[in-house]
Amino acid sequence: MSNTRLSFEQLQNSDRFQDRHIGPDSKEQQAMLELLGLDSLQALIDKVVPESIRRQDVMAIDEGLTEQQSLRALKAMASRNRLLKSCIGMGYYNTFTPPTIQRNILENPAWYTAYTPYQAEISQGRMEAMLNFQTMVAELSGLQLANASMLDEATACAEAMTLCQRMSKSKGKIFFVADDCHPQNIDVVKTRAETLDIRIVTGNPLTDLNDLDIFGVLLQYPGSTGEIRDYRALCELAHEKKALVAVAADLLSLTLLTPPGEFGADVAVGNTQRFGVPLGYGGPHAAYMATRDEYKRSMPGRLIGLSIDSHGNPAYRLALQTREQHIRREKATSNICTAQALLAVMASMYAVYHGPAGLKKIAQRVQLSTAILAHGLELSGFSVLTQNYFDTITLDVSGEAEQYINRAVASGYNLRKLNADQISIALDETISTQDIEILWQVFAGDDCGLSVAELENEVNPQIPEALQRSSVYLTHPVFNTHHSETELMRYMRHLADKDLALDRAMIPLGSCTMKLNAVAELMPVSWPEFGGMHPYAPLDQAQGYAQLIEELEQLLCAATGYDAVSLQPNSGAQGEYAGLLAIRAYHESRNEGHRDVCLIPASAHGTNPASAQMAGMKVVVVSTDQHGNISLPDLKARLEKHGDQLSAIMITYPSTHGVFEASVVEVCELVHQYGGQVYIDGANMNAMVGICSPGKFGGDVSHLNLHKTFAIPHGGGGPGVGPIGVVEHLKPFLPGYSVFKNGPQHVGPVSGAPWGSAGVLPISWAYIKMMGREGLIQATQVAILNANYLAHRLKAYFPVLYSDPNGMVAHECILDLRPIKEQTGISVDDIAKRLIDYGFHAPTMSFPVPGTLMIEPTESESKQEIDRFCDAMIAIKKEIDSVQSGVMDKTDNPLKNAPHTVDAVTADEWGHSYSRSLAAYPVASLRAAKYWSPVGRVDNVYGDKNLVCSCPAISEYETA
Amino acid sequence: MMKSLVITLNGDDRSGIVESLSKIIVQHQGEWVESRMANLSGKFAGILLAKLPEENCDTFKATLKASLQDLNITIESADSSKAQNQQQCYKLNLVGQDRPGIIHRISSLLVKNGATVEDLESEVIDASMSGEQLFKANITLCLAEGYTIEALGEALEQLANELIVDIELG
Ligand SMILES: Cc1ncc(COP(=O)(O)O)c(C=O)c1O
Repeated sequence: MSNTRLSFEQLQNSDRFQDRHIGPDSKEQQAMLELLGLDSLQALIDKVVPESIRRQDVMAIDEGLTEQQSLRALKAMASRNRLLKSCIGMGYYNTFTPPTIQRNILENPAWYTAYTPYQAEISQGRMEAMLNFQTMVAELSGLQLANASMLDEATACAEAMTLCQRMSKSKGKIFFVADDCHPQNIDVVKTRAETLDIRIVTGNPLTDLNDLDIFGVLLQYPGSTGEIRDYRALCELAHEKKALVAVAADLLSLTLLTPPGEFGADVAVGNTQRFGVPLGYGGPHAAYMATRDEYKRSMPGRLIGLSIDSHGNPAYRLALQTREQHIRREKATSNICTAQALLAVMASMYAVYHGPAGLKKIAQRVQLSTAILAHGLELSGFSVLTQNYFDTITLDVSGEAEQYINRAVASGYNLRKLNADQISIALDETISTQDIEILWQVFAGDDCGLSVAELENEVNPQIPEALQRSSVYLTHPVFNTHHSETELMRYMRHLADKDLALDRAMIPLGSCTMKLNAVAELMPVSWPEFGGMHPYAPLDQAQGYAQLIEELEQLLCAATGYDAVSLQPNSGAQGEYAGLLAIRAYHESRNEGHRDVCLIPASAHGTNPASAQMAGMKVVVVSTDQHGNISLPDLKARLEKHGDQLSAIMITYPSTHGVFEASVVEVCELVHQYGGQVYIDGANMNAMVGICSPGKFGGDVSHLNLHKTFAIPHGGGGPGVGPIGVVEHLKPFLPGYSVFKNGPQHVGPVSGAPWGSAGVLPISWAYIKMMGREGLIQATQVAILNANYLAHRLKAYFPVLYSDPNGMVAHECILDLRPIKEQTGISVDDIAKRLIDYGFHAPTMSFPVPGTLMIEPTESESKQEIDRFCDAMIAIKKEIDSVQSGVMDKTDNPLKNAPHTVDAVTADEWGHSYSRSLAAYPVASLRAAKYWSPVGRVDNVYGDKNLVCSCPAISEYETA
Repeated sequence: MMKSLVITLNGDDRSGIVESLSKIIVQHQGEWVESRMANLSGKFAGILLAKLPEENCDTFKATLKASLQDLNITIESADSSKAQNQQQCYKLNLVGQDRPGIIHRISSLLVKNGATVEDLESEVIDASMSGEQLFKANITLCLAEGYTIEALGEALEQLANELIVDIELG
């Protein structure tokens, strides 16, 4: 320890955040560099990152803040948000997040640091919660099958439209959208329709449908301004025309109303935000989609299903994966990948906590408060235009809307102005007696003298007989047992304990960047100043958010070299789609709208071709050479052939093969020569921040995954944020805003909320500000160091599939397991599942190359943890060798039987040809700390053959 | 122990060859691993990699030769090169979860719906991310009169939850 005297100032800022975020300290870094034969991080970068793309300018980001400084700065920003009570509605409502759910789910790393449950065995807890979500949605909507989850209600409406088109037998090209849908739903549907040659007609579905050649209809239930209508006859009419009916429905209202599935709808979508998820200025929230059993294979997004494990016990898994972009690419049902898992879990727990009776009471409370409010206003001479309502009424204020809106704001309430004559008021579970009385005063004057206590008995809120719900819902025990906080706390703990998340061990998933999500980054998300803001609150009330958004946009521009950023897309895949829309609109603006070919390397992530298809482009595949790089001869041939039609190329950099391709500049130049635009998939940005800038070495547009590079946690499959950065000439073509018309004008919105999942943006802001320029650069360097160290340690045991001419990889590496499969019959799956016995989450399986594992350690993992992982992989290789040499049986070995459960290892019968201790404790350290897989290997085939996607009856657990 | 066999077949084309072949493989607890089948001017040629339990190989060989007497058949236990050829009618892409007998079920369904297989390429690969075993087949087929591609498509989609079918006009 040095004795140099530090100044008070130095001592105050001595706790550098970067030293907390970056795993290996300088001694560990030195040791790793030495193994690679290098003497500094700079030497490493010089060796790995091609000179031609290296950043020449200084990244315009300040030196890092301490955690306390960052929290203070964010608090100051938060306090610039003026939090009024918003009664705006439009799919977003105030809600009480049960504190136990806030603390035990939203703020619990066991839930928020988990990954998408591709590894079924270590994801049983979160999959149970998500199955609860599916059950809740399916039963409340009256349809058979629901997914978990959609990005927001508006995109869910757009997905419902394409589902209707795929499934309807009508040849019509028209999708009819009821004019009382939420405006953002209409806007996003229109954006989506434009590139798919679908014509949108809006109007009154009860009168305007007759002569149209439609394939589908979208309704809002209850309508945006509050009216509840009976759509039975309409559904029949639509079905006569062979069209399908999609309904955007408010889940809470469905506890009282006839659900869409019972009045004839084919698809239901909606937001589940009001089930205990904070508003967050528009997101993240889980939206839902439910449909009929017969359309299940056309359902977008993740679906949790029940299967059995190797012991015949019930176990959850992701069902019907063959629908998804990983497999079907441009033929996928949708490009949705990262969704809103954490928020779906929260919403499901809200239902578990309240139960069917509790939810119904909440709905009754909301409805009664609305009826009382309406009655008082009518007594005061206002005419309430809404005849049948649940939580929203519309008033006629003849020309004085502006004046009442302003009076309401002065009293602390935001109402929705429909036009100069009409105002809508939407109530929610947080509305108190006092709120209602103040709202009366806003309209009827301070001395109107109305009192809830007096008026309450005069109202009798009624839903028309034909629309009253008679069917039961949420009868499963899970919704009827955990109502005390003790029970719910233990239930949530019980589920979390089954899972393996970043709070237990490194998650070395290639292409996913499972880095630290520091608590100092996350804490502000729970602050009411950020959490309580309605997405359509007047902009002058959201000045804190405006500052946050503007600063984050600038920081991301600095980090990527782009000139402008849109934070609207809710996921990486949505960013791809938005980026391609920008390219398309750019070509159109230059009278080159015929350009519609999108070149995509064979190794691209499945969302790339899926997004291209959604953006109305034709996918042409470019092959890669034996080193995994884009084949220049093939690229040139494609450019020759499609040059006139060329719209864009989508490349990933560093490539999905985990290598910095030296030819990237040439690739970009070639594409530009042929008039194409370059889309650089920024999923691998973690290898570039501060060292090279996609916006400067040839990219025209990129998405970033803030849930990878910029520290937003994965949440078990979302939330994500997929902002796009663009160079100057594409700036006018960023997505427009719904509701606020002050955004860019050429492309429609891609999400309902203007700034997408704004509620989690403080995380990325804090990450960048606390790391600072130097910290960010070092993070990139160490991410590359960790990957190369790991590749170096493992290459003697498993061949590293691709590396650059110096034998180096970027921030991840691919291990080729195909030779092992050929020689021993041990598969990728066997190795992945055996890693669970060693306490690890498997690396990415078979992407981008089947039969491989892709490993990305990230900068946050220490040498010690990486060594522990390497030791496990090496021990597994020795097991494989024993199989090969015949010491272990070819089929009865610890790899084929992995993972081993406590049950299996402690059973009185142990029929295996290897020992129990080898099964459970292959390395000694596991005796001190052991993660036990709660189930044996999950049977994929059984699950899809016997599809069950809602909570099974208890008897099912017993007999399976 | 499973044994890999490479089977080549050729002879006059007729409907039902693939179906009989797959049926015999299934009967012997075998797996259809990979195949290329083609028809050129009335001649059928196919090469197929199958895996069978060692103990069933002999009866398999005998049954196969007995049931498909009109074809020239060779059976070798080695890897071999693949040949491929195309004649277009409809293109059918299937993706599904792999499981024993899947190609047999598909091919019998094709026969029932009046389709003759002109070309069939299939493979089993590890699926991205989830790692499950995927069965992929690209089939070129022609339909006998009186059968429609829509009906065939629907029949295929009905086959099982785990199968997704795309049909393109060839
Ligand atoms: C290379 C690549 N591109 C795109 C995506 C899609 O991003 P998201 O899951 O946020 O939609 C991913 C995510 O895994 C990816 O790895």
